[in-house]
Amino acid sequence: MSDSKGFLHWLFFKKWHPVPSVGSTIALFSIIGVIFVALGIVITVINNNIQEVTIYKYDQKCSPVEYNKQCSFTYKLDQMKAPIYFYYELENFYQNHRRYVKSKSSTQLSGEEISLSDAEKYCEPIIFNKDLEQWQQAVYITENNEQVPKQRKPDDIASPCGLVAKSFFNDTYELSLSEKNIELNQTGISWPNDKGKKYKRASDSESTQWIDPENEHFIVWMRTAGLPTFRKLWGRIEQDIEEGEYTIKFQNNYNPQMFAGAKNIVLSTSGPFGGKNLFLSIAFIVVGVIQLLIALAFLIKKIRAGPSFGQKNE
Amino acid sequence: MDSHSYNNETTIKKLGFITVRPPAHQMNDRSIVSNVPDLAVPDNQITTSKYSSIITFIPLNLIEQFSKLANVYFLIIAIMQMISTISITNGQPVIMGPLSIVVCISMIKDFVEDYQRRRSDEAENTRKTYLIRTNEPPREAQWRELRIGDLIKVQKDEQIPADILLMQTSDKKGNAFIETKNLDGETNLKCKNIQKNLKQLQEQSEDSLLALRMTIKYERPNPYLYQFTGSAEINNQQIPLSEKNFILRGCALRNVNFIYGVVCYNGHDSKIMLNSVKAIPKRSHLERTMNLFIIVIFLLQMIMCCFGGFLNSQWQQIHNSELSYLDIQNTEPEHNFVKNLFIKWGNWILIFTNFVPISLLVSLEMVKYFQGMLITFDKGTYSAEYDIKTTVQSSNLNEELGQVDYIFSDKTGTLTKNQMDFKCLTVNKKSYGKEVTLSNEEVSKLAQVTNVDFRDKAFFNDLNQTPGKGPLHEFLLCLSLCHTIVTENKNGQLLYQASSPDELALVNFARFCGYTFEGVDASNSMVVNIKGDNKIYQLLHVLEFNSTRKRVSVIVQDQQNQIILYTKGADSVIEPLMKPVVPQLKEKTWNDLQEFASIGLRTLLLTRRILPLQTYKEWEKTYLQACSAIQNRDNLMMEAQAKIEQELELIGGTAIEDKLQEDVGPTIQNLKDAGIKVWVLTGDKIETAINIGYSCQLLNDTLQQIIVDANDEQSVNKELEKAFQKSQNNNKNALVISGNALIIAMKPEYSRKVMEIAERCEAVVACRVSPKQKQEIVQLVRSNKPNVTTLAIGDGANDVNMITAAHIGIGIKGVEGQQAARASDYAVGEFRILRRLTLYHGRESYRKNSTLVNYNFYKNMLLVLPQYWWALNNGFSAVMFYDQLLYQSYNLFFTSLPIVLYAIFDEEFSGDILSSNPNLYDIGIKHKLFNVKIFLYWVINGTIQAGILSYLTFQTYETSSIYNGMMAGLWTTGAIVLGYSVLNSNIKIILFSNTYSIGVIFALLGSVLLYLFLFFIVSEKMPKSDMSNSQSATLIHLRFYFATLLVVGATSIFDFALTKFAQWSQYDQVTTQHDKHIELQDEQFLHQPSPNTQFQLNNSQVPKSPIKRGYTGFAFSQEEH
Repeated sequence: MSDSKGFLHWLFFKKWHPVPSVGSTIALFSIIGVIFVALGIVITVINNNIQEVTIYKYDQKCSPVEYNKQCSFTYKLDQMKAPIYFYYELENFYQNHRRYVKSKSSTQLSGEEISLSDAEKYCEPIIFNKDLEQWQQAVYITENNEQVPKQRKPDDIASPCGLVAKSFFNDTYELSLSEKNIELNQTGISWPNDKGKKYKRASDSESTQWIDPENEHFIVWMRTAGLPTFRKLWGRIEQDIEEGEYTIKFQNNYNPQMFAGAKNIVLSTSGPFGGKNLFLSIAFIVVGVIQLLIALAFLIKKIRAGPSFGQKNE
Repeated sequence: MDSHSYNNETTIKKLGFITVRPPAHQMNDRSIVSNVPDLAVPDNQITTSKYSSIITFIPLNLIEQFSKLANVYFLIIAIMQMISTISITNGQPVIMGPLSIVVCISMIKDFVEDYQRRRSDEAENTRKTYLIRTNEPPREAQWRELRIGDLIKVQKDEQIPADILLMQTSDKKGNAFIETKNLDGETNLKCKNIQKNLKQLQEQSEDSLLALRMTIKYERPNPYLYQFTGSAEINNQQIPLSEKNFILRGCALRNVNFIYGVVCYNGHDSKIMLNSVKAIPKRSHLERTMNLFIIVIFLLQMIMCCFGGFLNSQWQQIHNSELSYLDIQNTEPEHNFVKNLFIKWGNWILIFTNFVPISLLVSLEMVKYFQGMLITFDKGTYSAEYDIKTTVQSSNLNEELGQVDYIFSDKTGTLTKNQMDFKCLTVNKKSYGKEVTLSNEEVSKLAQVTNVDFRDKAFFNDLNQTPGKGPLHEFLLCLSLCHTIVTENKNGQLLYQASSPDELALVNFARFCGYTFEGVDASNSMVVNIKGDNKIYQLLHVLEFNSTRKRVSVIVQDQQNQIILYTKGADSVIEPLMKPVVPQLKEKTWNDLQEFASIGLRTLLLTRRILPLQTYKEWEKTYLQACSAIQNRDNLMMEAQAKIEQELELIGGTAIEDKLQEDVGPTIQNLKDAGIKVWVLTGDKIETAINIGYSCQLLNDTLQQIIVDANDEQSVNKELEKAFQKSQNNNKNALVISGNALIIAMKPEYSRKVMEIAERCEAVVACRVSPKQKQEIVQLVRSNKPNVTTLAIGDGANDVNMITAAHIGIGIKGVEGQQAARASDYAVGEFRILRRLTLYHGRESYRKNSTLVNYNFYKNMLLVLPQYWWALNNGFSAVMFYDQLLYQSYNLFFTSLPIVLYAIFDEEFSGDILSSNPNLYDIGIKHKLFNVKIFLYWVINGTIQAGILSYLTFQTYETSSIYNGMMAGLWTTGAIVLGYSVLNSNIKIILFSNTYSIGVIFALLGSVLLYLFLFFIVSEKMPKSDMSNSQSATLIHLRFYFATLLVVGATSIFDFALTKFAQWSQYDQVTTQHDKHIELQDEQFLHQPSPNTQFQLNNSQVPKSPIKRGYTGFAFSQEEH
């Protein structure tokens, strides 16, 4: 009994009562401020070492702009160090809309069959094959992103169902420098463990599904983005590239007019904390400067109010 | 039993499970026949528990739980969660999880409380008594079986099971002594007796008592403890019955071997039950404000949700053509502006569910319970002198103790010890007692008595000069005869039982001088042992004290058959009844009395009258007539008594000191310095009250005294007007108002003015107030100033009304019993504990509970609002980006324990600093920590931080890859935002805490770790979850730590600056010593008594400036019931 009382006493009644003085608080804020500014500078330096190229509205670079056609254009790239990440970026596409984000079935994506009622519950409004796009009803997209013609029954439950799957982004790209193809590695672009676990093909995938859920482009697409302008990894260039006029050949399938937005290509290298993020460096410097200003404000206040400021009078 | 129609029937209505009794005043007057149990009236069973069984408990308690607004709110949320069109949880009512936990905790608490009540009911109902019924052998019966009309036998020291009429006692004189501690808290014995005309019953056997058929008529059940009028009819003779013949349930029989009685009121009709009013649960000011804020927050939530719905509808209309990938058909409700608005409104309400904090009420209740425990365990609230711990009976008022504006204090037993010490006397132009000339050795040779503080040798010298005669002999004889003390013989020692401590002091003084009152013998004679020589005085009559008469008389016949009347009382009362006195003697006596009164002593005048036999005989006849009158008996008796109390001869005067409780002066001083207005309500006369006021530092010479004392409406009005003028011209006032004036001033047309005067007074002394008036004064203040907090403190049964009427009732456990303590919210041992209770515990509870409430709103802003801010990015389409499991755990696990520990253990200043620095108390009185401004500050703080949190996280996570070119997704970023909410709300506790203990640090770390753990489970072990793999994708990468640093730097560090700034501005007013270094505070250290001795006042000393006034104090602490 006395032991437990002693323990409780130790736990709750032995109290520290730190009363930081004005001086130490000013010092604390100054130190924190300096650290933040310094970190901001470090991040800026790192950011500057990360290369990032955005090719805006690449679909407009072909004339005439036609969809479901192949097209190519040339673009001058600087020298870049591997690995170089190849992204597509959509603007004004609300993957984070309530109606959109919830319209999918995790059960179905993990390879299980779902009942009609579940499909209605989770996949509203894309439930049956007939709700899919025309081209999706007549195709099977393999793991390697190849399209195999396949006719589906319009009244079967679509698999995968839902708005997210239906709006699957299906442009494909090829990159070359003076006729020499530069390989875009499209494997390992989804999160580890997503493929085969969270996304798993059904047992008779080819006859029941219109896309193999283990298709990595599909997996990447299914991780809905939080902001209306977002980029998604499409491939990886695993060799350094030299400066030069590169030809980008792409299958122009996805029409940005349907969301009144744009589609861009982003090529980026990576640093210790991932991709280039100017926001982070600015934010660190701003916060650091404000900390320093607070320290200054305290200092001025202390000088003005005299030594009694912040002191508990004796 | 034959069907008799006594009209006693009590109809009990049954409404479902609940039985409803008619109120007592709607019942009929009673009429019973002895030994004929009346079955029309319910038996003696009592039920104070709310629920009759476990089966009815569940439905009834559930109804009660869901009559709480908060629970209804969450129930509605649960229903909304099941409607598929608006559900954000796929139709699962997930809120039922936390809601059922919260409801279960409340239900368990209610059940335990009710179970305890049922146990005590059961124990009471199954107590044994001896029941004698016709046609049944006499037997031990349970209390519950008793019916009115039953005959019962009660043995010595047993409790009386119902209100009974006394039929027979084992005492030859027909007396029965009872202790009424359970009823009114008084410990002295009261004497009840058999009606004189029923004395023939004394000799009868049990069987003939049983055969007796006597019709008894009496009033309907009523709660008046000291009233009983009825009549018995026996042999066609009407016999009046009074309260004297009537014994109440709950009393204990003492000094008599057994009694027989007929049950008159039983069960819930008994007086003790009718007096046990169900206490209305008191709620603190903070809680009332909090409930208001909850409603405000709820409305704010509704508006914000509606606004969100509106924005979404509008956004959708503008972007209609750009949203083809959403497949919104023209027929769908989402296409319609208004329909979509309502759907989105519902969605947003579900997302905002936790805006109204679900765990707030539970954690507040829990915290208060533990705060109450700490109050009890605090050594500073322990009264070593009486060995009494402070007990907390309604811990939900803890913070109210920190906001007290008015203190209403009883005087006797609260400010004073109710211990009267005999100090001085004046006899025959000589006063004694002011000198201390007796040595200890000489004192030890005299009789050892209590309540005497007298060391004047001159008195003994003068007494011994004329043994057995002379004025001093007469004086002592009067002291030992003129009283109503009952003697008791315990282990050969003679003990006195007095109903008034003054009398005890007087009789003890006589004993001290060798005039020992030995008691009343069997032939009703008073025996006085004068220095070893027993003298017998036949006791003829006792004319008892009441507050109108303000005097006591006895009529005795000495061994020479001389009939003598001894009267003692207040000088003002006695003076008109006296024979003319030699002017010098009168002048000297009156001067002496004035002098005694001026040093705060209570004075009494002693007189006697030798009655010629003829005069006595004539008077006795009228008196006895008056005594047996059925109507208007009290007045007739008083008239008769006044007739004999005439032509009194002066014997002398006495002065008694009313001992103050320890530390009363400094305590009152500190409370006044803290800005609390102290009102003393006393039954004493104005002069005595003013004297006490001075000695306990309530009044002092810097205060302008305003006295209002008048008896009729006109003069009261005039005096009030004058008082009002006076109070306007001066800032430091003290109001002294008499009870009579108060009755008039309490009328609605004057009450305003009284309050305006009282407003400008630091102290108010109300004199000669009855218990009822005490309550009315409290109510007057409450109704005129609805926003103030009142505290009433008292020790006796007469303070119960006041204690229950005030916001906080404090009872002093002590000599006068437990009644006040039982009715109170906090029961303490001494008045001085009030200082620590309010200035330390109250203030700290107020500070901490305010923070707790604010924090609960704040942390939920931090949880909910990031989604609202972020909705700017998705057209307010009401997306909840948290995982449901993590979201519901936020209030239950991630942020609940640290704030509770904070609110229990945090300490801004130690108890000693707070109790000696009353200026620190102002935060509560001025509502500095819990008001609209502060609440808004927290709400805005939470809103802005939520915005920063959400913006920073999305900008760092969603604009570029987080590692190996991987992009984060909405659910991952959402989980990170939730993590930052958890982190931020836990850091916030560090910011506003004053002290840190290992437990709190563990709890803070534990909360964050628990989040990480649950995050891990959801992320790594539930592959179907939207946010699966999120933890492994974020936590091991540098970006997460950069983002964390940034978020903490941009929110908590600014908060820290604000907190510090506010603290430093506050220190300007603080004048305390406080260690600046980190110190390890120990409980022992905290509870060392404060070395504050500067106000220590020797109570027996004359106040610094002697008060000269032309009157003397009046003694008799007794107050009328």
